[in-house]
Amino acid sequence: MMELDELRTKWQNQDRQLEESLRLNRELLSAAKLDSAKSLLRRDAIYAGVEAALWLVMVIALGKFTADHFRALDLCLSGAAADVMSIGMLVALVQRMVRTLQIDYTQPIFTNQKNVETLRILRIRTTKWGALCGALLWIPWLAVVSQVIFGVDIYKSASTSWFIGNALFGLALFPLAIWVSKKYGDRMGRSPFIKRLMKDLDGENLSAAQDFLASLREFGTLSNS
Amino acid sequence: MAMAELQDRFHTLINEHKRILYKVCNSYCRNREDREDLSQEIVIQLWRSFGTFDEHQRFSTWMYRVALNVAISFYRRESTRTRHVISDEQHLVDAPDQTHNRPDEIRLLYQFIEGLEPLNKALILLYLDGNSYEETASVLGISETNVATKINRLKASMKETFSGSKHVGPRSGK
Repeated sequence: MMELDELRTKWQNQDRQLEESLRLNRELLSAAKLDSAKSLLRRDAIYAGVEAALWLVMVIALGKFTADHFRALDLCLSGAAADVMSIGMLVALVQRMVRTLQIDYTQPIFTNQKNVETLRILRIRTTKWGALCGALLWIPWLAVVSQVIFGVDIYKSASTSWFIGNALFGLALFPLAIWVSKKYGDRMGRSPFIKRLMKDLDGENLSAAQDFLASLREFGTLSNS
Repeated sequence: MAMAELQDRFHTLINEHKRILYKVCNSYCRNREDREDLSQEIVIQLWRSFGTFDEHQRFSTWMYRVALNVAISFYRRESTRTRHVISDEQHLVDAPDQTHNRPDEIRLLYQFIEGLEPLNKALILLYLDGNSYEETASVLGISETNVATKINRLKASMKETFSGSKHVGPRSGK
């Protein structure tokens, strides 16, 4: 029967053999290769910057829309509601960008992993809240879009049954998205982005992140169990 | 330090400590493709952080910190990672025939490590590599007493696993 201490000696002996047989591909360590990989990371930062810029444009455009329709209360409120949602999304995105820049892999594992997981939870919550608000504000968004693109005020032109139908659709959209994600999340699409989105929506990623945070806390504290 | 000099220093240090890269990748990834992706991510992160490396520190401790942080994040990440940063046909760190030439005990040990959750994997790797409790505590960011307690638990779990049972994997790895 082997004890861990005995195995440690064998492991370290094995290390010496490993040292001789390991081959490091020096070409892949060249600055050009590392810098091209860095540029991929930079590209991710650029995507996040573009997304933030788009939300900023949306915030400004919706603010202008709200001011322009100050006298039409229903359109004004629709524009304001969509604007508040856009501001929330922009703030959350900027917060995520700042926190991402603060992630430091040279920190102790306990600290770094806590930060990484908290960031992951922030991203998942932003996705969920974005989807929920988008679904609840379905009619206001529709009103703004139809006014801007087609010049049609749906509050004046649409029938009551249309409103009821769309309000019910808006209310059903979020639970429907969660149901579809739970039922077909694993089968739908090969795109990692779609898969992640669905797992964010159905709560799988959130509970996994919370479980990991809990195990991290337990790991960081002395327990008698 | 000039860029060329910095790169040379980086290459030398990585070459001297390549076994850390190899062992971390082998402990956190099952298949070769993932190991390759992980080794590349670790090296990229080491290179990005190299400017902040304090020469008074032990390089192995610093490298362990970065490598294990990247490995745990890689392991935890949902299936969205950017794959194949560098060409698929090339391998950053290679050990011809190592897997087949491992003694049985080492193979079982790798199996035991594979069954552990990511934080305990980090702990046992640091322990097996002969790091002191102080160094291990500094890499993990927990107290030395906590390190000692957890290592004792792992020893007990290991003993139980290796004693007679054909099942290899921790009974109480958490």
